[in-house]
Amino acid sequence: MSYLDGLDSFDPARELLPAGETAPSPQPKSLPKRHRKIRIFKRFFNVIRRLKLKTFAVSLILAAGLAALQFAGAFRIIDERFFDVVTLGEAGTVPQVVIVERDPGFESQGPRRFARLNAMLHDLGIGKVGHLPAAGEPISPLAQKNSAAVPAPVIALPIGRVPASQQWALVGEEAGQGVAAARLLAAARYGIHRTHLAGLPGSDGMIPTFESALSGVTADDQPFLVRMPEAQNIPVVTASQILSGDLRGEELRGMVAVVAPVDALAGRLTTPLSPKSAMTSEATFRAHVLQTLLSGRATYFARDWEVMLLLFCMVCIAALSYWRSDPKRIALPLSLALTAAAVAGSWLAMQFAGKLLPLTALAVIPWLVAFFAVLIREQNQDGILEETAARAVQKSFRRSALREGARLPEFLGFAGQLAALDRSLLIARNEDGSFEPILEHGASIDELTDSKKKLKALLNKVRGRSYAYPADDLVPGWTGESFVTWLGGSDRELFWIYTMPEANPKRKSAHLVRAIAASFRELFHWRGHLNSRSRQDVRFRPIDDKISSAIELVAREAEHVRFGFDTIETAVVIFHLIGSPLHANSKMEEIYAEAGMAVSELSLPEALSALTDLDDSRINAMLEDLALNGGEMRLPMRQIGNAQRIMRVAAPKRFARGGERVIVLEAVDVSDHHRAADLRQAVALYIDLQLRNDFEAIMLGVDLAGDERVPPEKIRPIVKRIGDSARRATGRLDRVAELIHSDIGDILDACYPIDIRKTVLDAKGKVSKLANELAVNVETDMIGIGGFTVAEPKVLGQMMEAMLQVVIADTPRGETVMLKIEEEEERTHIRISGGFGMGFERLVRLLEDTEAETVGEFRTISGGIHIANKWGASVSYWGHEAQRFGFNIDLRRIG
Amino acid sequence: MTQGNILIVDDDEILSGLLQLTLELEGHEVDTAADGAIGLKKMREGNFDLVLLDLVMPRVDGIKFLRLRLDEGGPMPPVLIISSTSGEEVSSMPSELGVVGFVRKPVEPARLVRLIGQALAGERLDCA
Repeated sequence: MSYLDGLDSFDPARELLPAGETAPSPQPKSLPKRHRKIRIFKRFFNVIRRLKLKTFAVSLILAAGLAALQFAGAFRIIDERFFDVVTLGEAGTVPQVVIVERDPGFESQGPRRFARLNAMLHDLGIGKVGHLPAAGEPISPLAQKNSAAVPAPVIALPIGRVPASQQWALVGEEAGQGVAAARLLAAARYGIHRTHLAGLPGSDGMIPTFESALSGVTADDQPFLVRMPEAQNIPVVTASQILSGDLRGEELRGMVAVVAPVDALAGRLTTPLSPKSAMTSEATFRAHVLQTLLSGRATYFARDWEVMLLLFCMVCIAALSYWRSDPKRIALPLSLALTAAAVAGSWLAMQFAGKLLPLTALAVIPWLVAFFAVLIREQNQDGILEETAARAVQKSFRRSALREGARLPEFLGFAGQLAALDRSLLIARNEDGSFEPILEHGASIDELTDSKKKLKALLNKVRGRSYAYPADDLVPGWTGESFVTWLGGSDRELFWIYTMPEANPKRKSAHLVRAIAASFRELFHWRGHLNSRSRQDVRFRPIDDKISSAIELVAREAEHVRFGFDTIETAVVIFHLIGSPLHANSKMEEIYAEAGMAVSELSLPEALSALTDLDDSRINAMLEDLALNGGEMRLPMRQIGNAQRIMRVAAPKRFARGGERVIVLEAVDVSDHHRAADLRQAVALYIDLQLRNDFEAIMLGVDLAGDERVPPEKIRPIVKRIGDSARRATGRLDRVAELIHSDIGDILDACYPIDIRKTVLDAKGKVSKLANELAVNVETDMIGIGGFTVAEPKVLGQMMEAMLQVVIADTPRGETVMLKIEEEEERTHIRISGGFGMGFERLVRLLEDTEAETVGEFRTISGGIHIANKWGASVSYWGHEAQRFGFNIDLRRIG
Repeated sequence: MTQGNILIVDDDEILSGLLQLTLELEGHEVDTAADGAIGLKKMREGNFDLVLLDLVMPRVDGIKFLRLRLDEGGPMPPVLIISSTSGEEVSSMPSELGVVGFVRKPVEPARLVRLIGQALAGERLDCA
């Protein structure tokens, strides 16, 4: 079925209406005559297309061919063999023929013996008597009868063709008182006698055959098949028995007697009964013919028009069966069923209509139609697949910079630079064998060897290979190690000759060159496949090859795109407009996983609902706007893990206008920006507070210096203090200038002046849940207001949280953990203590991560200790078994 | 102008010295303490009419100084806080701590002298 089937019957207005409503009838329009004709033609074409015209036409031609073969007798042997098989096995009918053997006893009697035999047979109730004369025997005695009451016997006489005509005539002696009939034996069919005729055309009309004359069947020249069941009883008696009067009248009443001489009872004919029984005698064969005719079971061959009609019907049935079905799926069962139907039909026709149908042709048709239906479908499918593959490859190449062959030197030149090649020469070999330089980097085509033979030999050796060959002979003037590699190419083959760098790491360069060459080769390979329809040499490449190539190319590109996606700094997930996820990069997958979700399980609205704080109505409104108008929106994202992010929801306008609409969710991690902002805010606060002190001192000093009440000897110290304050302010500014002017990346790990109280309280807040669960009290001894302590708050906070967690976890229920901050002139101390107690050595092992049971918190503390050292801070710890343990963090205080 | 015995509690030695000189020129008796702990000690030893208190100090900061002094139960003279912070902490302080005003550094010396005079006279200060 074509993928276009049914499209013309699809009415969107009707399909999309709510149940119970009907689409308004379209207003009748009067189309111009020409348009009406076009429409009628289109409809007609659609009907024809739906009827699978191609399949149908092929099937009809096929039917005609088979009919011709049938008429030529190609299938006759199988059809008749079918007849044999069926009839041989069937039950015999009530015997209506008896063979009377002219035994020697009978033959030794006088010339009136036939008259007595004919009379005796009549007396026994035999309906008709036929005589098969022996060779050269006089005919007239056979026809003798004693009285007029005895019917005239039928005498089988030889026949001969009337000269120069298609007619026949009885030859030899006349039948006298008997009825003359043709002693015909139809020609054996493929060596087997199974057919017979009721008559032959003669000059005065039809000449009846011996059997038709005896059976009373109308003489015609239509051949019929003789049934010869193995179980059929043909009684044989001797003429002497008849004459002796031993037989009772009832036994032979109503039968037809065939009186045969001894030689007519000798087996001479090959019939369907052979070889199971011996050769069949003429008398027996004729008896079967008579039995067939008398029982009305003669089977005739189907007439030509009947054959044609039957084959046509079978073709129609088979072809129409594939109309709405996939031939590949139903071909086997359908063909088997139709073949079985043909066999059954033939059997029925043979049994009840006396017709032998063209069974072989009928049975072959379903298989041939199936074969052609599958073949045509495959051809169509291949065409569609090839077009699809070509489109996919075209699309891939359209995105690829290499679609323009003219830019190849540019790319290869750049690639050569990447690999730091000393010299690089790209040459193309034309069809006439000449060479053309495509790219010359530190080299010239004139430097190629003058020996054409050597050049050709080496290039042919390299051709089709994926590795490079030494090319010192090719460019004898070049110093260093030279190589040549084949890049492929569709119309002109490309060869790349280069020299490896002397100074740079040779191994890495060689590896890079190999990768570059392989990449070029691959791209040319795909290009070759793409152009295969226009190239004779690859035109007949199997479609599977092309499809697999296209799939591989597209898959490879998709893989590259995926890799590219994964390297993006931000987390991205792309949704189809219908809301199903299309692709997510690894960073977004991590965010989903962190939130306990899976990308494939959430639709777009569900994802937005889970990742942001928007309610459903706002999500729907936003998506509707994006879908209709394109553009982008930014939303705050729920905190997942430690990172702070904002969500960018975008529907690129380029796609929003077309059918391929996508919506992109991008989670941008703004933690670093937040940290940088925190840092700068802290620095600004520090400067603000410290400079206020310094300016206060300067203002007081300046005021005092100008006060006349101040004795001159005190002026100098005051001025000195003003200078000290100014220098102190300058020093403070210098200290933080680096943090203010640096890039975000440089200052993210930097320490800066912070309010330690806030960081400690945050850490305490984070462990309060654990403390409550374990019924542990966390007591704090805090400063009222903090100065400026140097640290990186995130690392310090995580380290303190981990310290509190391990201490709380070790503290018995109802006990207290102490958290204390002390500020001195230049140091700030944070002290955490509690727990049941832990030996100092064990504490050391846990923090050094040498203990198998080291938990994540100890690793966090250990990492924090290392980082804290960079701030000028120090971390110490203490512990005793059953006597509590704790941590001391000593930090720099600068104001 | 009312003269008084003033205790300056500030860890900034330069500023304390200059402030002391300024106030002594106005006729006040001035003593200094480098942090809250020393300030508490001096409070216990002497009798002051006004405390000029900085908030951010090592060991015992300004807020802790006030709480500890309250806990000690000794007489609490009026306290004028002079700090470079925004003063948010002061607004939530209970009145029994004795804070009569808050001045954010830097402040004009003349204005500071005037405010100290008002505080010593028990007048309402024209600061926050």
